[in-house]
Order: sequence, then structure tokens, then C-alpha cells
Amino acid sequence: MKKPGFAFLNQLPRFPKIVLIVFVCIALFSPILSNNKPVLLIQHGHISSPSLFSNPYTTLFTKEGKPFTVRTDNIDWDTLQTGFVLKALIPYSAGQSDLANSNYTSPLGKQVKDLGAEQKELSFRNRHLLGTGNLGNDVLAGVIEGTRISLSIGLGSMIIAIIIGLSLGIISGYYGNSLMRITRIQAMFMLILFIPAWFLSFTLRSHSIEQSFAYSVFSGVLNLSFSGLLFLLIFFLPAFFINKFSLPTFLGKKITIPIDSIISRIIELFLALPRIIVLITFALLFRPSVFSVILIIGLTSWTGIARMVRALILSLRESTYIDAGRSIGMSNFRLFRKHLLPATFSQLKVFAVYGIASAILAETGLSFLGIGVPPDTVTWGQLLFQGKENVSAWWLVLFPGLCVFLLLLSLNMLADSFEKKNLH
Amino acid sequence: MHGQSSTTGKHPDSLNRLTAQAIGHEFFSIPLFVNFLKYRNSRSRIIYFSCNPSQLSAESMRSYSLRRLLYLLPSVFLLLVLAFILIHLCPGNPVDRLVTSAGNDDENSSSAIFHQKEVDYWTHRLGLDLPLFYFSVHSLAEPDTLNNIQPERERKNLIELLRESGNTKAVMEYYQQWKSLVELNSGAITLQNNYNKSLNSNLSSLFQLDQLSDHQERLKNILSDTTLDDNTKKEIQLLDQSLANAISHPKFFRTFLPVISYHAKNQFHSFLFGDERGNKGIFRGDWGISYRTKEPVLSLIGSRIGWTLFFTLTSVILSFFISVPVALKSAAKPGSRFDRNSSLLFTILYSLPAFWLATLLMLLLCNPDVLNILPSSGIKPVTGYPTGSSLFEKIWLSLPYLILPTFCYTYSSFAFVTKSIRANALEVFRQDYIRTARAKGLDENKILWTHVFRNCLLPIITLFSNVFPFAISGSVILETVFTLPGMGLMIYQSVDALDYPVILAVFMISGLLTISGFYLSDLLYSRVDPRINLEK
Repeated sequence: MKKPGFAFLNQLPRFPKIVLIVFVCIALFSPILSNNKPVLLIQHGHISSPSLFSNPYTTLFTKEGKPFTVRTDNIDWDTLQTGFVLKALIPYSAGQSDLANSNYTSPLGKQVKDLGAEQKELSFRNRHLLGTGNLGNDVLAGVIEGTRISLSIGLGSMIIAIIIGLSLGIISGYYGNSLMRITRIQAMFMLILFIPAWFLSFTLRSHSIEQSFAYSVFSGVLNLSFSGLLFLLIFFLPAFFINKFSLPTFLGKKITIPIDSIISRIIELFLALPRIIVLITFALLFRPSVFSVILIIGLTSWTGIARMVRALILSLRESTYIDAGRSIGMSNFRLFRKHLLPATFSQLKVFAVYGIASAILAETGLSFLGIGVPPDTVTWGQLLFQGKENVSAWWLVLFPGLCVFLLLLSLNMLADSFEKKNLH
Repeated sequence: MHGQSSTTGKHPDSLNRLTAQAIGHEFFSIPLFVNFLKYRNSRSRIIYFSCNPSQLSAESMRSYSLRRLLYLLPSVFLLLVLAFILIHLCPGNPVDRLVTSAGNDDENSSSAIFHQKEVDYWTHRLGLDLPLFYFSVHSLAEPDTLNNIQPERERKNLIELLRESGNTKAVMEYYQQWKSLVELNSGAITLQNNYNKSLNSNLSSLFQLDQLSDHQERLKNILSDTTLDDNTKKEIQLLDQSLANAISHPKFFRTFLPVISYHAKNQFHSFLFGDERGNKGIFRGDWGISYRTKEPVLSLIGSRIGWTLFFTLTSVILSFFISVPVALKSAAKPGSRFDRNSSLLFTILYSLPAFWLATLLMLLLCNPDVLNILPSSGIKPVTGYPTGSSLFEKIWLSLPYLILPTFCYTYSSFAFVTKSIRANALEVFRQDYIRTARAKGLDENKILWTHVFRNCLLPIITLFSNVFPFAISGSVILETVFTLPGMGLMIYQSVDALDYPVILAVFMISGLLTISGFYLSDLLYSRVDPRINLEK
């Protein structure tokens, strides 16, 4: 009988499970939880939900039903008389400045409604529950937005790291130093084709790659990977097809490629570099954006996974069931997919969860230093950075840091429990 | 498959790599204390001290260390290549950063001439007019002497033009003609009227464009100016003609034919071995010039490394003094209450971001509003040590400044160190000789300290061999929070000032030190554990 989809949740330890579910929910529902635009707006029969869209302009309707567009950050939704307004749970967006409460307002102190001389106190519904930062930015809204960004950076960078680590680990573990063999004619083709392939895919496209990197990191990476694909196509395809012909013995003789040594050297090189230095160096090269942080962290954290997978596959490929599979003529790809890949999952889980935790820590640390994400993106590290500037604003240090701590603790505990399960 | 280079995974030093990032939790290393017992060789890695290490033949040791040294070379080479690539990917032109005088619109003033001289000096000194590497792949349309053309922007656009037309001779002729015209014009500008200024800027910015059609349009624009005198007009018409020549006689096939050329003098060579222009090359200790202070990077690092070394070493030693007894005690009774509690406590400590705890502690203990018992930043009193104070007095005065940083440096490595020693000790406890010792009725404490402890010293070797790289990079965040004058703060300041040479020098040095740390610990392993087969 097939188990229901979420059955795995029951097997997790309780504390990390609850914390993680809460954080994931906050991240998923962050546009509804904290927003300066209403979640639900009913005006004369027109129902809309402006908070779901990041567009700063919202269409409102006059009493006659005529639509008009306004910039939403200047609207006081409480005084809007035109219809039913359901505000978000926290009626502030991350990074939105509330000038009346700028310059570090304490969550316990007096929070005023507007800049007027009356100094009217804010109603509880509109209070900044965790205080405000330098420009009157709501800390709670920032914490909620930071959850979304932290989790997406953790997950995204781990996906990149797993893709790189898994493929390199499987290749070097399975082929080792002796199993990757190519014929002489293939080697000759590759040698001859290397320079044209490099020339056509990188030299001629260098200007276009440079320009797309100047435009944005994402388009640059897309352009670069297109070049890479082109290179591989020109480099490998002829060599792949030449083996289909019957070859004279001299050209058909096989030579081995010590692929394991090559990959091991690369892994050793990446292990040798202190991560913070690599992160900082790469962060300086790319233009700051969330995507580039994901890329940087992903590109620097695959070594652990690659080593683990390599060692695991190295011992697995000697086992009889792989021999049996090979003897009945299974292709290498099928062996990978059906037998070798699933065997790595239980260990991969541990590495992935630890990896997410360390990616989140890395992101927070980088933005704490003011590197990585652009200054207008609100993250936990950026809030902590603001707190560092002003010693008396304890709320800017305590709450975002507590979130980092809770998330890291639950991820580490989860990984610990996976690890223990693997041991038994 | 057990080839010589499979040392990384099969060799017992796999633990060594896994613990490579041990000490640096606050440097956001990946927690790698994932059950490494599993990936180890079937050969157990426990040392029998009864076995005399000197039984190892000196010859096999020597050949092993030499062979291992050979394996280092590709890694070192890869590292240097990577660093070289990164140096050239750094945004911005290094010459602009190093030149102190400001550029001037008025191209004939003495300051502008001085500026140009300085630009030329640094371009020559940094070797930017040399090709990048020993070999370069380019199209037949591009002559291999293009690197002499400065500034970089002009060269890149010229290359684009060459690739578009393919007619090397015509395009190069057009470029030469343009260059001499611009030089002539900028010399004449002081004598002529105002309108020539616009002509001059129009003309001199011609090679900001990277397409032939754009060039043609710009020239047409210039020619349509009715105020031009006949002489200039004639020259620009000549320029236009040679451009038209390049456009009307394209040789497209030349663009798609790759050519390899060899350059004996190139930037990579100067980067490694130096050249006659004042670069000494990294093998002779020249790691670049800081943009910020204009002094050699190496001396900058030398002035900062002391405090970082102090904090790294202190924290390693402290964490061992606390972790070793805890690890042994919890391994003695796995699953006991002490074991569970200590591992939970250390997991919690491990999950506490060091920079957060540091800021919180500063808010609590260095805040005039709450408790003001410790100084918040720096390493010594603001006024400096009183004159004539002895070393002891200096230490005593600095002590309050050291408490918080040392604590924050240390606490997060507890979890890691404890876990790795505990895993090792657990395996030792399973050995026969421990059972024998227990059966003999030996005191449990004696078993713990003489038999188990001595046999799980290997992680300690590993951890110590990995101190070097962290000594170089330090903890960037903690040093920034506490304003400690070490390497970390220097890196942070360099990042702030976009001082790439310093960052990349730290990048290279720490990489080299880690690689040599791997090497040293491998040698130590085989020295300490005679069963490690050196022939493999």
C-alpha cells in the first residue's frame, strides 16, 4: 500500500519539524502576511487582492465605478471610505519607510501616528510590533521578507551544489581511473577539435557574454552556459559518432582517461580555499543580486557532496548487484539512475540539510558585512547590519538573529537525526 | 582504480579533508562532521603507540613524501591559474585605481600630460600591454600585436570591428589614420576656436563604438558640420574613405578561421616569475600592490597577521581543552544522559551565529545603558599603553579586550571537535585491547586517558595542520564586529575599498597554506600510524 505523501513528516523529531513548517509557511505566505497593500479589496462589486502583486500602482474605483490608478505607498487605507478593506496581518512592507517612526523606534516605546504636532499614538493594529530601523522600516516585515529570501537562497544554492557535487562524484567514483576509456581516433578528434570549439564558442562570443554579464548576472550565466553547451557539442559530438564506424585496429585501440584523479584535484583545490575568502572574492566579481548570492554559495559548497558521493560509489561499484546489472547489459546511464543514484540519497539528505543551514549562515554573514545582496533587499543579515550601527537598538539585533538561530538549530538537529538514522 | 592518485578518498587521510574546515565554523564552513567512519577504509586508523614509528624505513618515508609533493604541483598550479583568472575578471581597470592624479578634459594642460604619463607608467608596470597567456586563440582577422593598443576599451572595439569586417589590412589602416588624426587634433586644440572642441570629442570618442555602421554614421555626422575648415574636412573624408574601403571589401572567412599564437612574454609569465619591468612575480614574493595604500600586499599582510594568529591558536587550544574530556566521557557511555545533553548543548552552540552572539554580548556587556564591564572594541586602551610598562602590564591591560573575542572565536568549534573526537573514541572503545583492559579490571579512568585518549589523537593532528589557512584569513566577521586589527578586518576594509590585489593575495596564500597543511598532515599521519601503507 502506498503511504500518503506527507507521512515522512511523522518520522521527524518534533522541534525542528514545527520550526521548519512555521518558517516555510511564513516564507510562502509572506506577501499576505506583511504588506502595505490590502489582502482583500472589495469596491462596489470589484474584488481584488493588490498584495499579491509587486506593482506599486493599484487600480481603485470611484463611487461611480470609474477606475483610477494610484501609487499605493502613500495611501492610508484606514481612511479609504470606498469599500471593504482587509489589511495584511502586518500592514507594512519590508523596506518601506514610516517617516513618523524613523530613527529606531523601540517596540516598547511610544510610536506616533504622523509627523504632526499632536503626537497621536499608533493604534495596536498599526503598531510596529518589533520596532523600526533607521528609516522607519518595520522590523517584523523585514524578518518575514528575510525568511523568504534566506530559505530561497538556502534551497537554491543547495540545488546547484547537489547538481554539481552529485554529477562529479558519480563520474569520478564510477569510472575511477581505469574505466573511462576512449579510442585513439576519439582522442585525436578531441585534440583537433578543442581549438575550433573554444574559438567558436568562447573567443567569438566573448563580447556578447561580457555585455550580458553587464546587463545582469542571470543573463550572463545563461549566455555563458549557452557557450559551454556549444563547446561541448563541437568538442564531443564528432568523437561520439566516429565510434559508430568500424575502425582499423590502430585507431580503435583504447586509452584510459584518469578522470578520478582529475576530479579529485579539482575537489582538493576547492577544499583548500577558505570559504569566506572565496565567497567574498566571487561576490565582488558579480553584480549584487539574490541570484548571484545563490550562484556563489552553490558554486562553493559542492565539494563535501562530491567527496561523499565519490567515496560511496567507489565502494558500491564493487558490489555484486552492480556487476549483475552490467552483465545483463544495462547501460551505464541506467545503472546510475536505477541503482547508484538512489543508494546515495540517505547520505545526500544529511549533506543537503547541513548545506542549507550553512548557506543560510553564509548569506546572513555576507549581508551582515554589507556584501552580496543589493542594499535595497531586506534580509536578516541586513537588519543585523543596521543593528550593528546603532548600539541601543537591541530589537534590530535580537529578533532577526533569533530567527537565524532557530532556523539553523532546527536544520542542524534535523540533519543530526538523519545522520543517526543512517548509523543504525 | 587504486591508482596512486586515489589518495583523496581511499587513503585514511579522507578524515583529514573532511575536517579541513573544522576550526572555521564562524567562517561559514560546511559542517562536515557527517559520519565519516562510514567512508573510511576498512583498515582501522587507530594508532598503536606500542609500535615504534622509527621502524618505518627512512627510504620509503622519503619516497612517499616526494611522491606526495608531486601530487601537490597540479593543485598549486590550478590554484594559481584560478587566482590569475579572478584577478582579470575583477571589474574596473587597475590603472585607474593606481593612478593618483585626476584625468582632465583639457588634454593639453600640464596636469593632463602628467596624468597620461602616470597611466602609461602603470600600464607598462603592470604589463597590461602584454598578452594574457602563453597561447592565445584568435581569429585570422586579428593581428597578434593588438595588445599594444591601449586603453582597453579602444582595443576591444577595434577587435569587434576586425571581426565584423575580416579585412585586417583595411581596418588597421583606418585605425592608424584615426589615431594620427586624433593626436594631431588634440595638439592643435589650444590654437583653434571653440567649435573644434566638439569635433575633437566627436572624433576621439569614435572608438567607443563597436560597429562599422555606427562609425560610418558618426563620420557622416561630423562631415555634415558646415563650419569645418577645408583641411580638416579633407582629412576626415580620407578617413571616411578608408572606412568605406574596409566595409566594401569584407573578408568574412578570415573571421571564422582560428589561429593560435605563442607569446614568450605574457602577463601570466610575469605573474609567476616576474619580468624586467619591476614585477618580481609571486614565486619571488611579489603578490601585487594594494590599491588603497599603494604598498606591497605582502608587507600589509605581515603587519596584520599577529593578532589573527594569536586568536586562532588560542581558540584552537581552548576548544581542545574543553572538547577532549567531554568527547571521551560521552564516548565512554554512548547514549547516556551526559552524552545526549552535551551533544544537544554543543549543537545549540554550533547553531548560534558567532556574529549574532558577538553583537548581543556587546549590547549586554559593553553598553553604558545595561552593563558596562568590558570595552567594546579594539585590542588595547585607546590612549595606548602607558610608557615604560612591562610585557606583563601590557597583557593585563589588554586582557578585558580579549575576553569576548576569544570566547566568540572558540565556542562554535566545540561541537565539531567534540563530534570528531567522539566518533574516533567510539571506535577505539570497540577494540579488543580495551575489552582486555576492562577484563583485567583496569580502572576506567586509566583506560580512558592512557588507552583511548592516546589512540584518538589523529583528529588533533588534522585540526592543527589546518590552522594555517584560518590564521591567514582570520574570522572576517568577528574581527569586524570587535574591530580587532587582524587579517579579517584587513579583508573587510579591502572589500569596502574594492582593493582586489589584497583579497586575491589572501585567496592565494590561504589556498597554498591549506594545500601544504594537507601535505604536512599526510606526512604526520604516516609517521604516527605505521600501518598506513606508504606504497599506495
